[in-house]
Amino acid sequence: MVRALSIAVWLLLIILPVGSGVLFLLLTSLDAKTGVSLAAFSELLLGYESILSSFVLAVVAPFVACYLALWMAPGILRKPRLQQLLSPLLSIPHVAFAVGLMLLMSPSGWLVRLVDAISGLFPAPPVGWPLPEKSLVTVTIVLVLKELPFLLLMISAQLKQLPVKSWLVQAQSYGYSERQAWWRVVTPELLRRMTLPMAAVIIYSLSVVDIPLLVGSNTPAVLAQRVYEWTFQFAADSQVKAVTGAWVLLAMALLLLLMNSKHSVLYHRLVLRKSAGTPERFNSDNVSRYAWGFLGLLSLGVIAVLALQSLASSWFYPSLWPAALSSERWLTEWSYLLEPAAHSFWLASLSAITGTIAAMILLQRQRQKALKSFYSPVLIALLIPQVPLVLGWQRVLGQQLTEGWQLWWVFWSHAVYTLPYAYLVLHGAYTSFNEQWLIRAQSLGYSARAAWWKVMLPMLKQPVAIAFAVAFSVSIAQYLPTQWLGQGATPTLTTEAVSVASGGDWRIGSLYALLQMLLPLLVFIAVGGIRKESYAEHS
Amino acid sequence: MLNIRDLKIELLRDDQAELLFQLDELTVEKGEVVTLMGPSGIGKSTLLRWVLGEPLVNFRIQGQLSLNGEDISGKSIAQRQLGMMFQKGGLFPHLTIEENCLFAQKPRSNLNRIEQQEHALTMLKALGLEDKWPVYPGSLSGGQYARVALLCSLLAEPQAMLLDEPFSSLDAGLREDVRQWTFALLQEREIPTLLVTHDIADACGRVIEMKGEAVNV
Repeated sequence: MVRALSIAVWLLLIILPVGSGVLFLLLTSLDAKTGVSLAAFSELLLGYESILSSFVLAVVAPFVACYLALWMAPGILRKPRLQQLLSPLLSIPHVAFAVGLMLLMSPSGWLVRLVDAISGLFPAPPVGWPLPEKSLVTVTIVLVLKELPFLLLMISAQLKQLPVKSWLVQAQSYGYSERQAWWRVVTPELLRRMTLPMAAVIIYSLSVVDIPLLVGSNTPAVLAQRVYEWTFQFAADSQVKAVTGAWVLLAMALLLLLMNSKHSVLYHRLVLRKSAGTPERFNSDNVSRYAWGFLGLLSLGVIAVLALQSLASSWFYPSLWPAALSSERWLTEWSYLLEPAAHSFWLASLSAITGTIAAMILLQRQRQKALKSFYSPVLIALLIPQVPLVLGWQRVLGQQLTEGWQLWWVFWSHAVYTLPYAYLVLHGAYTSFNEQWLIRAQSLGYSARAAWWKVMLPMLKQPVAIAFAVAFSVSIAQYLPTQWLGQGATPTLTTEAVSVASGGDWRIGSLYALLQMLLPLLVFIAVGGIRKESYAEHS
Repeated sequence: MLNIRDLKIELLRDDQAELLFQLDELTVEKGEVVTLMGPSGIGKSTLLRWVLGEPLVNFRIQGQLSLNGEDISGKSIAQRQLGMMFQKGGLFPHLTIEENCLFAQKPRSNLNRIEQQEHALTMLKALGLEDKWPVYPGSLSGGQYARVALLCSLLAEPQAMLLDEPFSSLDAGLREDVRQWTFALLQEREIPTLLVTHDIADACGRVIEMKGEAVNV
């Protein structure tokens, strides 16, 4: 039965979506009228700024996040409890984080007000502030900060599987400092194992649309955003541009993935050649410890400022505190908030359950075949930029999307993305679960199936719950599939937050952002209530 | 009575089969304890896991297995009614001692739930561990854990017991205590018991040395 189910999962959530998306994009591209055209292509290349900014974003954000994560990761070795910080950080949706960050850091943001209140330096919002409200730099910062917890989570999973401590001790016996040992011995191996998660992060940065819409510059916009906008223009010319742009994104993805695959080899070579100098000042444990504190504080700040903003009736620069607090905005907006909140909640619940169960089916099949290693084809949906893929789905489904079936197709598209994340989170605990517990239950007289339900599932309930929570927040954060397949019929907190806040209304945007953040946070708090011990480690 | 005949265990490695050992016949009578002694890597545990009915991917194993005169080699683990006590584990960490005891009785016991509870509690009282009834196994000491684990195995009404270095995780002081108690209990109930170990101090009853490829009984 597991075999049949796993075939169904492969077909419905991996092969069909990826195959149909790419294939149909290919077919429509050959259409003479609306297909790819050389003219559109050369026009795209001439206006190279979009391509260039997309490229820069997809290189800089993931690599900065990667090295920041590597720099901070020794903290996990010393304080394993830090890991518990990661899942809630991960659950904060990008959009809510971006809105909160803008409220904190923009020229009229809370941090500038704080500096002004202390020093009186900025009686008016500063000009030339390094974090202007809309720019590629802002997009990059938001992406780095959001990708950091994900990469740290992936690194911490790898650290459990490597004898890192004995490596560090041995390298120190050769005369390296602990930090040097970390960068020279542990990092190359970590980078090698991080190739896949990094690929997902890179592809995400290349094709993210909601964050550039919110905090990106429009001159020029990144390519993904432009393709997205072109598809909403009805002129045949725009459709041609959209399809052409989608192919350029695919080509860029291929190039970036190639570069990524060489990353660890290159690092390995460079680090072996580098002479052992004295350890640098920023490379100390103390500084990276502050980074953890900063990340935690920033997230709290984001939540606080969103809550405050949503309750502020008027809040002019440079006052630190709103003139008055009232629930007025909540009351007037409540009727508008309800529908997207309900959509978000049901889509996220159903697609997270689907994705988690599907991941368990695939992992159970792997156990049956005694395959412990990570099976990367499961993640293929994460390795194709969302813009061309979802554009392909939209074209395949065509008429289906106007007959009241939008919600189901949006649900399906979310499940395509919740599955790989649930798989990533569950893989370690599931494949390393000790078979002896199942054998013991069977020797007591239980069937193999009963043993699975009564022993394996309860023992794995914590990792399963975390996988569900991560999948839930993945679904909450989906923007592109919701917009394109929902055709406006399935507004969610995310789509509404983007449309309100990108229109410049940060105050009402903060309501949507706050709710968008609260839903996954509540799920994580509920999951945290589950008995802490991870039984998988008893094995 | 547990009977093994014409057993041949081969290790499959790179498409080649390497003979680990052969056994013509071995019978463990009712109330008897038989100890198989041998160095590690010889396939003692594999033998035990084969008897238990575990699927073993990297081995080719031929042989006949009967329990009380009935051939059980085609039966599933659940149907064989064999108890096990291995180095580690034995009590499910996600269940309390009470839940572990009831979990062990549920598939085979003819008693109702309340009787099952009383039955388990009586046995636990005999060990002086009735206060551990509501706790999770994680909070038991090594000796307590081993005793309660055996108790749970016995609650499942096994027709024979399989022991794989069951005392090796206990420290020296406790080890002899638990060992004597275990074998006394098994013999009192006349359960045929097959023990494998590399340590002569663990052995009990008839001892069979496993060396090389053929084992002489």
